Amino acid sequence: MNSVAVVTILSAFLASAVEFVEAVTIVLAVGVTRQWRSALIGVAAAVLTLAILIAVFGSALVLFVPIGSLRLVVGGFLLIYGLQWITKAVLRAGGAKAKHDEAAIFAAEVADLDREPPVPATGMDWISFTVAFKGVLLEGLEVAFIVVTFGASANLLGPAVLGAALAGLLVVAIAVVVHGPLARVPENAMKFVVGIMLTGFGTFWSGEGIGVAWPGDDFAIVLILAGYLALALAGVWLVRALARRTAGPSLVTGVPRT
Amino acid sequence: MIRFARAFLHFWSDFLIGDRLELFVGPILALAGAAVLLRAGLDGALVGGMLFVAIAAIGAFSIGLATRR
Repeated sequence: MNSVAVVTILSAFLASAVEFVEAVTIVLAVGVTRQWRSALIGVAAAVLTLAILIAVFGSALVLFVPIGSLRLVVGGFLLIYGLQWITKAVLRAGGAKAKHDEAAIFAAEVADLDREPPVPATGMDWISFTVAFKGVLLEGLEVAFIVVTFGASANLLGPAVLGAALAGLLVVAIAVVVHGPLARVPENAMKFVVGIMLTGFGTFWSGEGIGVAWPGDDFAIVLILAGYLALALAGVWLVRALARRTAGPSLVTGVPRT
Repeated sequence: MIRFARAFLHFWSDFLIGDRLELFVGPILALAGAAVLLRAGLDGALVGGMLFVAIAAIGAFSIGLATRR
């Protein structure tokens, strides 16, 4: 297995794991407060929908779109998506944006579900089905987007799907054992790493798509990733310093600034 | 039908653009600029380096905007 395949599996795994953790939080909230059976049917329906989407769009992209155009368009999307992830991760790591808290999201979801009408005594609970279906489909669409774009650009759709599937199995297995929201998963750190990977590969592939001749060919990816990593870490340091300066004496004395 | 189309467009704009328009428009402009420079005959490696710097600058600009909000 070559290094690009390993990176493809790793990227798909990390990106998918983050999204699966978020989906599991929603499904857990529905199952615990309402009805597991309907929630799990909702999950199965969403997973089936996502599998069809990945098979249709992934295969169509790989089979019918020339690799140059594919890398420009899909690399461009990866670049846009990766930049969103990495800038949010820098802001979170620097303390300028609230970190993702699965325990708080779980509590909010449970509170929302408590306000719904009671679970029917017999048959399907459509509220459980709909909330679980929507949650898994929306989070899963991000997984599908990353798997299809990453896999198609590298012409490695299989390894990308494998990475996502492994992440799904691992997250579900941990959720079954823990039986609670996966609050200890380092989501923010994972988003930071994935943001760097998506932005780096997006830059490389979209650049190739417009005709950039990267020095060192594939080795340029390593330099691009290292460059973005260094800049992102510098960004975290700067945002943190800025937040400390803005907070000023209030951090030291505990007295709010007026 | 119109409601569905509107919801569909809203979903995709939220999915790809969100509340950070600069992170959607910026990379497209950077790629377009890089393509123009390549057409003008500039060295491919140099344009690649410029593309990297442009993307990093867009990220820094967006982070700067967010910290001011």
